[in-house]
Amino acid sequence: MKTRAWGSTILLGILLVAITYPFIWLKLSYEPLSGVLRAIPDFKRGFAFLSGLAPLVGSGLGIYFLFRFLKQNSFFQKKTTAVYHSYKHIRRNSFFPLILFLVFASLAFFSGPKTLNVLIMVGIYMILSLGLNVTIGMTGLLVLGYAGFFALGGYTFAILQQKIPGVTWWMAMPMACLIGAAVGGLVGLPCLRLKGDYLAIVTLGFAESFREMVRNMSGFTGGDSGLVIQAASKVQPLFGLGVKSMVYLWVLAAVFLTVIILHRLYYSPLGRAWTAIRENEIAAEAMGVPVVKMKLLAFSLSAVFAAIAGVFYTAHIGFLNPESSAFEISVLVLAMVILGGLGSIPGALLGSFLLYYIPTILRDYFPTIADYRLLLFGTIMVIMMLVRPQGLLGSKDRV
Amino acid sequence: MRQLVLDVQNVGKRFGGLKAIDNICFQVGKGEILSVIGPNGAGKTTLFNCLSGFYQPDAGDVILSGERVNGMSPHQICRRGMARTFQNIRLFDHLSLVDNVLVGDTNHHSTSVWGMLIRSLSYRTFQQAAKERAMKWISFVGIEADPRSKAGHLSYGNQRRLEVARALATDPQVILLDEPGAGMNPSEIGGMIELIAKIRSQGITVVLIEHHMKVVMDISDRILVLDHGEELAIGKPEEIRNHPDVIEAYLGGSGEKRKVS
Repeated sequence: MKTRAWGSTILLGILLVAITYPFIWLKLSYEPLSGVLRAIPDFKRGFAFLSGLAPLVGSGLGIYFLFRFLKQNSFFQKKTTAVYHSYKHIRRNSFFPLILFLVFASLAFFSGPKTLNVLIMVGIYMILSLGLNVTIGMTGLLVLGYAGFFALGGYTFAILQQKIPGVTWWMAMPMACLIGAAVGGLVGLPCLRLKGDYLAIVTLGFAESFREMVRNMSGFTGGDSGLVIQAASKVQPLFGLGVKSMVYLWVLAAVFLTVIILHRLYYSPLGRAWTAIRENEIAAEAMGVPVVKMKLLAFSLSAVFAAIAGVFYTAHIGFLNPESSAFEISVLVLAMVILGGLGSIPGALLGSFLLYYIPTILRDYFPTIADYRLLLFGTIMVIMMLVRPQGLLGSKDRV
Repeated sequence: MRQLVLDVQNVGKRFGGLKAIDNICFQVGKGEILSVIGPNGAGKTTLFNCLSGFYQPDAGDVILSGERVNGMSPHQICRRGMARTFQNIRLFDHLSLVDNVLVGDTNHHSTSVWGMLIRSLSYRTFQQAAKERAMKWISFVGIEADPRSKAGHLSYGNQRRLEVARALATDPQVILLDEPGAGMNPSEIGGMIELIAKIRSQGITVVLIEHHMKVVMDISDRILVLDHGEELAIGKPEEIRNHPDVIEAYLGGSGEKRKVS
């Protein structure tokens, strides 16, 4: 890093402390006898806050240096602006994801349970937003009831382990994927003639009716009180690592697999066909793209990833209730995709990280404004639409 | 007689009470250029939509190389060898030129998903070959822009050419060009005439809708004249030029009639 970069980093640090100073570094103390209200510095809480940020800053710096290293060693080349070269680029760097994976996997060994909880949930949301990106970003189908597929995956697992003792989460995974794909296709089928807002309403209807269905089939799904996952069905400790660490590793692996699969599909003829449908459905149809088949495929694939995320979520939390199909989750995932950038894989990752991590920070360090996080999201979204409508890392080009 | 490629038999289409086209019959042979002309609202684009599957004809048959294609969806017709361009350009604006053309590469869609996921050798070599084919078509239509640039950034004339390249990439027997010269200046039109001749020299049959009489008269082997959805005349350019009905349709009545009225 150049001196200027160091300088701005230090400046950023000072700025961070300056902004957070009134909230975190000060403690109000009220002395009832004299009636004096005094603000006294509270360094303990302040440093706790900074150390909470440390993994974020650390992993950011780690990734930065890794990129630099790879760039200088000429086996990491800057992406060209088109798909044209993309598969060559992939082949040359096939070990790059592996390095990244190892860096993130190492977090499992020295992170506390709290950090791991956050990381696991970020990972689950990453899978969700990557999956939603297939329909919204790549194929241009606005799906608003994505949490329905998420809950579907979760309930597949929860009901299976209830009915058949000894079914573990990974045994339920293929079943959840199959059911997810089938239901995704079924929901997609009547939606093929719909576009834009109408499609959004139908998918929203799916999620809401799924929630009501789960509520009312209480003998099967536990109704409002939900289902509890038996200990034997949960993730088991392995390699001397705790349960949390193992969940984190599995989720991490799933995120990487999702990214690799979607990246490869995106730059394949299939992804090209999806993008063509998004850009101009009529022209795509005229050029021999089987639009109906492709849309159904996008729907199914997207539902499969939601179901996978649902199984992980259920295995992680150990409990599932109908609220997992709530509208808020659909909107949150949608916001993640839009914030990161429609159609962009790194964008979906960044979006889910930010929109999950920010509320966590708020909850831990600014409990007073944590209740206003939806307001904050709304503001962020409005500002995004005005300033950078394509999203943080997004662009509609397939770069 | 040349080998028959496209046989249109008594095709008709109505929208409610309106007969958009009625009883259209013509045959086109391999490597032939047929122009479809007619006043606005004559049903030229409706005819194209019926041929390419966007509309289902109410009556008649469309036979492509001996196979009846009416009733099929557009992508099926496209794969059987009839490609089209659009009157108002319909490109994939956010895709690169190469990608635009590759969408048209119909062989592509048959690649297996597993091959894509594991990037098998056959898939990669196939990609490479497809990319080279696409580049070939881009230079064939005479676009000199960077093939990696976005289609939306092309000039108007080049966008029209790119649409042709995309249609050619589907490996068609017949290509339907809907006003390829619309909105072009005379020198661009000259280039388009050359391009159409080049397409024919590849053994591809061309059916085109065009308003520029220069294009129509210069390159057409035969001309089909539509008026009010009906076939007014079909024949060689010089026959059409002197056809009394055609003159009437275009000029709104012959000299004598105008005197009477």
